[in-house]
Amino acid sequence: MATTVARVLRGVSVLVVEDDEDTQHMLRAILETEGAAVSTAGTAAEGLQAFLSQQPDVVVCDLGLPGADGYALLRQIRGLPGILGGTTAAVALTGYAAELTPKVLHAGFQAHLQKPVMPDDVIKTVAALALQSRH
Amino acid sequence: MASILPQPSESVVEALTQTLTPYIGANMARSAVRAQKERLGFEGAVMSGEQAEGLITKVGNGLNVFLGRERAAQVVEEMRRTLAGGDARA
Repeated sequence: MATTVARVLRGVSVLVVEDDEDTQHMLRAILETEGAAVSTAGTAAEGLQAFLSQQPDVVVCDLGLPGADGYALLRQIRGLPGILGGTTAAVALTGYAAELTPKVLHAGFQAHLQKPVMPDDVIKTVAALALQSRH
Repeated sequence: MASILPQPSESVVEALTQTLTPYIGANMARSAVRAQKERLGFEGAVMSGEQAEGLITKVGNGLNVFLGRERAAQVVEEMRRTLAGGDARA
């Protein structure tokens, strides 16, 4: 099994938008283990509110949200001016097949993680996007 | 199936962490178990069998994202066997 470098997400703020509470808490736990400051939301509306108030470095978003889905949330985020976070890096987390990746990337996400996904892959993806966003 | 008896909370956390470690790594396993324990508000020194079952269920549900439902269900059974077998009480 791959190992992670300790605390690779120190100083990185992450918004997790996921409707399943147990999954949400598990994602929070693994991201916090690596030092990230994590906020969570269960719907697209809550996600947008949290995004605007917290201005995270990276958004991790389940696409299959109840009501407005993850695509709708990202459209709202991408519609914001850069100073309000319109270009913030976003990762789509889905149970859908890898064939969906082009559609996900076209929608404005920078990465697509397909469930089930190993914790290390979540960490590495978020770390890479956070690093990119700072350059 | 044997029921889970009351056990020291730290022993439960340790046993579940050890069971999960081969699947998601030691650090993540410990964080996952502790986070769900805190979320459930289990702060006592001893965990009842019912509380341990609740913790296993929450951890198992959260594992779906990492392992998929089928494999997560197998790990849940493994966690139950570990605690019911008394491995955590040593």
